[in-house]
Amino acid sequence: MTKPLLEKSKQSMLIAETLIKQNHYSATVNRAYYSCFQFILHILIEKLGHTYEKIREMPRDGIHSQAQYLLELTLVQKVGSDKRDYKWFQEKLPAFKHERVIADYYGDVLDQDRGYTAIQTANSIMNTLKKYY
Amino acid sequence: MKAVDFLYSELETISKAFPRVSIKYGYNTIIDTHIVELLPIEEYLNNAALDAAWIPLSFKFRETFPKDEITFISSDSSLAINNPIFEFNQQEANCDAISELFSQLSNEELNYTYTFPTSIPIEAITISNPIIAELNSPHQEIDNEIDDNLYYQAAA
Repeated sequence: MTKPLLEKSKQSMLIAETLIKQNHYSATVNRAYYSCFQFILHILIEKLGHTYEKIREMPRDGIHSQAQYLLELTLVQKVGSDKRDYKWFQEKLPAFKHERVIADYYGDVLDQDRGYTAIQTANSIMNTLKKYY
Repeated sequence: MKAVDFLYSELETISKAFPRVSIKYGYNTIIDTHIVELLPIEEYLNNAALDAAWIPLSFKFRETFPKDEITFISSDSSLAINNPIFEFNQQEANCDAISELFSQLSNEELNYTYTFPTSIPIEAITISNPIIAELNSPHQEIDNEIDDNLYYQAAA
């Protein structure tokens, strides 16, 4: 059985790693963020049984917002009494989104530090989620 | 009820239950997200009772206002609030104030100008006679011909 969003997530990360070697740091941030977001959609669809259409129909504004909310609903239960990973995730994903929006639409082209940090952040988020899904 | 009014009311309740926790509220317009900052960071990271207060609020808020986003952070976040819209339990000597104080001291240190003397007061110099004799020699070419013996004498 194919897992298209997991494959898309891997491809996005490979592209991010290629872009940073070519000094395209803003685009690196974009691809790293989407690698992470596609991985979240993969969890929601492949592991938690949601459909893409159902996610889109839900009341929250935008699929990013909806996906984060749906994942948090289960993550907060899965982490048990130690809420550190949940707290980290619920802050880290919006902060990463903020960085991606800056990279895409605001200010100057980003520097390499922020490109490398974005790849690291995406991997950190995905590795944290792999602990629970 | 507006989202911000809802948060004001709920956060005020939490602030009364946790008087040592400073609560700042702000709004991030870049990602259209309500930001709640809990300080100090040790409380955010380690206070389970505080977790039990704000985590359910985070979900309750998003259920009540499905078009709104919220995240709870502390001082280590890149989303940290510089100009809060409202604040509870404002800390008297919070980190910002300390940083501001040290920033001022640091600037004074950096801006401190010391004029280095361009001449050495003669009374501060003690030179043995043989070196004075060397220096006073009309044939002395210090740059090119100074020998090791001079250094040895100076060090003695």
